[in-house]
Amino acid sequence: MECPIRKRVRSRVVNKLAILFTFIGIITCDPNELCFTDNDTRVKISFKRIIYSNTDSSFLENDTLIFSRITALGTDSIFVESDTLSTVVLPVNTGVNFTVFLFDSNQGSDTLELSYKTISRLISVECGPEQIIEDLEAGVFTFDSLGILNTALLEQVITNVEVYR
Amino acid sequence: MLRYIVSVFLLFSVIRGFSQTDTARVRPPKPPKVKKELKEFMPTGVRFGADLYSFSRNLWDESKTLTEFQLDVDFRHYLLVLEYGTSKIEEIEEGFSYTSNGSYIRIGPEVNVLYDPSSLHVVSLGLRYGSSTFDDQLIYNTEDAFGNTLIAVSNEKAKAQWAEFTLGTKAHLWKGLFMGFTLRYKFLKSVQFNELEPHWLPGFGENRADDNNQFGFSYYLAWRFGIRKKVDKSVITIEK
Repeated sequence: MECPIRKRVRSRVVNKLAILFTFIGIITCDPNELCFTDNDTRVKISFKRIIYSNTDSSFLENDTLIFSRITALGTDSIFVESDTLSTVVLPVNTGVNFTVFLFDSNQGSDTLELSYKTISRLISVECGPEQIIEDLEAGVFTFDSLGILNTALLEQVITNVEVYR
Repeated sequence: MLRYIVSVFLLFSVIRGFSQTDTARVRPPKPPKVKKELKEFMPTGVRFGADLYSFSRNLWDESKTLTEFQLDVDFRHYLLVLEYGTSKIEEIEEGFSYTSNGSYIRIGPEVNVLYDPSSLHVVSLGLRYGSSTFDDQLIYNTEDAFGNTLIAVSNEKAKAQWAEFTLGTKAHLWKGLFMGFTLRYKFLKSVQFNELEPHWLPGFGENRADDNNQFGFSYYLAWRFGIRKKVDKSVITIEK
């Protein structure tokens, strides 16, 4: 059986603790808003030449192409004009879920259709909205072959699509 | 011979009958263990409260209209808590507008860590399961190489679920009046959506992509309705 004095002290402590906790003010502050995110609306395409390939492994090297221009359907913008490149970074049309790119180079004219899923989100009220592009897939294309290395369009991704010759 | 057999049979029947009566008389009554244990889990009161923090937030943040109510059933050391709330968000800024409208429930047990039979104060640790249903919409403009595009995306009847650890107090102020707060650590967030990642989850708060956890705070003003115990004479007799 509990001692009455001890019981009374315990009861007082309980009461005081309960009231103290109740009237404690909570001071909170918002973490600093960081508007930078890793999401990107540009696709990174690398051109590769197959030097050696079998079922187990393949050896590739960068394929440098002389582009007269690179454009896309649905825009008058010219993304690349008279340049020699082995990697290009091209914007995708975020208003729809696919973009058809047109490549004019020393290798001829080629097209590449890329489809994707666009997700919108509000980073924060201060930073505004952004778009997340994921599930990248190749549709119709005229290149010999290609591979999708990364299906998400992110700043940190080096290559999304590799085009092979 | 038949008379003899019948007489012996009747004699045994009588003896057997007497012996059963004797056993019943001397057997002590079983202690009412089950009833005594059950008594500990009988509810002693029901508290109904409103979250003043949610209501006051409407005054200093015009974009948010929040309400939250809490009902808890007091089982001496333990409490069963049910919370219900609604949330309406309207963020209209230059270049975009975001609206969200939904409701949520949270349910879970709490243990009164400083339980004292002589006091009605509560200092509790608890767990919650939270679930919300909501509609939201984001309208904004994009300007890129493909021109100006007005994008309108929305979710209808989107769902979110999460879990919470809670630390709370309920201080007994006067008669049935209680005041107290609940601090929440929200985790295990799960959200279902289509082409719009929700910015605000009713009951959870801001849905940050880089952080699955969130802290929350509620400040309740509540009234406790005591549940009067029914006098069970049989239990009292047995306890003596």
